[in-house]
Amino acid sequence: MEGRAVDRLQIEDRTESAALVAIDGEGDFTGLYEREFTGAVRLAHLLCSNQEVARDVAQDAFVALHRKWATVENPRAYLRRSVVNGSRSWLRKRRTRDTTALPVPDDVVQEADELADVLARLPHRQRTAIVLRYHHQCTHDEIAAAIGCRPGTVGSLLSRALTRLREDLS
Amino acid sequence: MTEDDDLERRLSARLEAQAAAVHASPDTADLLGRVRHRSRRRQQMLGGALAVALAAGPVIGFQVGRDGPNDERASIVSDDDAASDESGDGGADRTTEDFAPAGAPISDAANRSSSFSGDYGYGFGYGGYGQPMERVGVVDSEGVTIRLFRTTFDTPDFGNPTWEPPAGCFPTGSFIAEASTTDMVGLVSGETFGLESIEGVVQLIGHAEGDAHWLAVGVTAATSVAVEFPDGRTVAAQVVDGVFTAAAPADVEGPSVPVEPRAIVIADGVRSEIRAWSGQVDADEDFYRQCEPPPPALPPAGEQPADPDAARAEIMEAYAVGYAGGDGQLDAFADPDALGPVFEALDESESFDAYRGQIRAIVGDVVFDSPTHAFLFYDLEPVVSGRIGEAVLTDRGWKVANETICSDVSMAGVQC
Repeated sequence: MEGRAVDRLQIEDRTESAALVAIDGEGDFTGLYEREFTGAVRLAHLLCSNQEVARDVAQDAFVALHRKWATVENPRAYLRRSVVNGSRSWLRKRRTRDTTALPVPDDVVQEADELADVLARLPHRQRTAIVLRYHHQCTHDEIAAAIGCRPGTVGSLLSRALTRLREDLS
Repeated sequence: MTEDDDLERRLSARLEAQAAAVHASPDTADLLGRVRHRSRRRQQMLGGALAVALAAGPVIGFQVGRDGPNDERASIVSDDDAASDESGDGGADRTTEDFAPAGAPISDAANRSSSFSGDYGYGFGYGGYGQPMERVGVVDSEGVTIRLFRTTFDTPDFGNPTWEPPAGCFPTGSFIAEASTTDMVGLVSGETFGLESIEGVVQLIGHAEGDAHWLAVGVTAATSVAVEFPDGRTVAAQVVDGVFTAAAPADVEGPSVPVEPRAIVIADGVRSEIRAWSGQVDADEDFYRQCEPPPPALPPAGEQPADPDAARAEIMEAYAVGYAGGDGQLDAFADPDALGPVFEALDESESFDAYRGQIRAIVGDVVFDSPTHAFLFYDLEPVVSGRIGEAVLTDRGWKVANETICSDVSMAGVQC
């Protein structure tokens, strides 16, 4: 990590300092963190419908990204996948403890919205595909990378999700 | 504006509104704390793993050997090692269950059999082949309170729809009796094999606690059942939903206990012997040879469709599209309406995670046994080859039979 000198997080430990890469400019981990954190929390919230958990998932995604910072080619894609995986992991644990359906938004004040309810009832992968497509405007390739499937599968996921949404809304 | 456009517009607006309501600011102090915590924890885990490896290597080696090479539970895995993989999994804290093997989506009879005995699945997990035990009831026999549980296994997938194993080859279910008095507790369990004879077990429990009892449990279609225990005492058994059980004080003294107790079950007047283990197929090697699935073979050809080559091409296309997971996937199956929920469940299946997006169906030989039905060999690359599938002619052309995809997804724990 020589040459990456700016340590805006003021780490005392040399090992951690070496690991906590902080570079000025576009390649700056800290800069990316500050730019992308809110978006990561919002993505996590759209997937797991719990603001506290969403913040936790986003922070841990940045911790994971930080550890891989030196080798990750596309930090935003890595971050997106970490958030998707972290959200799914939380939902699985929640489902293990509580067999009820996926949670509906519980901590954001919003108007009663049938669409939000049916979105919350979608299977996680379908919901993730919908969120990444219609909120983040991701391409099928980007969605496939975030979910971990073939790009062709994304079309199928979106198609099934939209069909189900239409059925539930009708 | 079309209906689709309107839904997509509403989706974007709804998601935007929901996201905009979330306010979160970066917290570098918290991030730094997490990084430090992970770093320390990683060092502790590595140190602990090293110490355990040095001190308990032989034990772990034994455990790995017993569980088999694919059982990751026997491995020491660092929280951070797993979180730091390229999958971007580094999200929430992990628990042991996160590292439990997802389980190969493709299994055969042998896999099921080894999993059955290796995981103690039916005994202490109260379920076999991943199926939970059903509580049958609670009875009292000779002062012993007995709780009865039972489960029925799904038929294993042998990858060959033209072959059925003879009864007695593979377990069809299991049963458990939990017994207790004020001075002892005991548990007796066994398996059923689909045999016509009485299927049950008898064991001595409570001996070490100074309150020895015989306990018999099994399944029967009879309504009147009695058990003649090894020391000659005969007790009327209680039958609940096809499960019989009986207990009796045991005249056993000293530290020695019978190695191979036997009891007689009199079911509707018919006497049968039960022992300390179930699955009493007193058969020779010739019988068990029948339990091995024969090499897959397609049935003889029947009346052919008008254009067999064109039909074969349609079948290959249907298999390719149906297993690729993209647009038009559902249309490749004979009854797509029945499969929507199945693919949704497959989307969520953890045991399919390792293979998601990788499966390709390659069709080999095709045999038409009628103008509207075919058997065929196909491989599911990269996981299994030589499976036998079916194709049917519908008003939309040749399609993958639902039975075939249902058999495949069942191996990922998804039921049609």
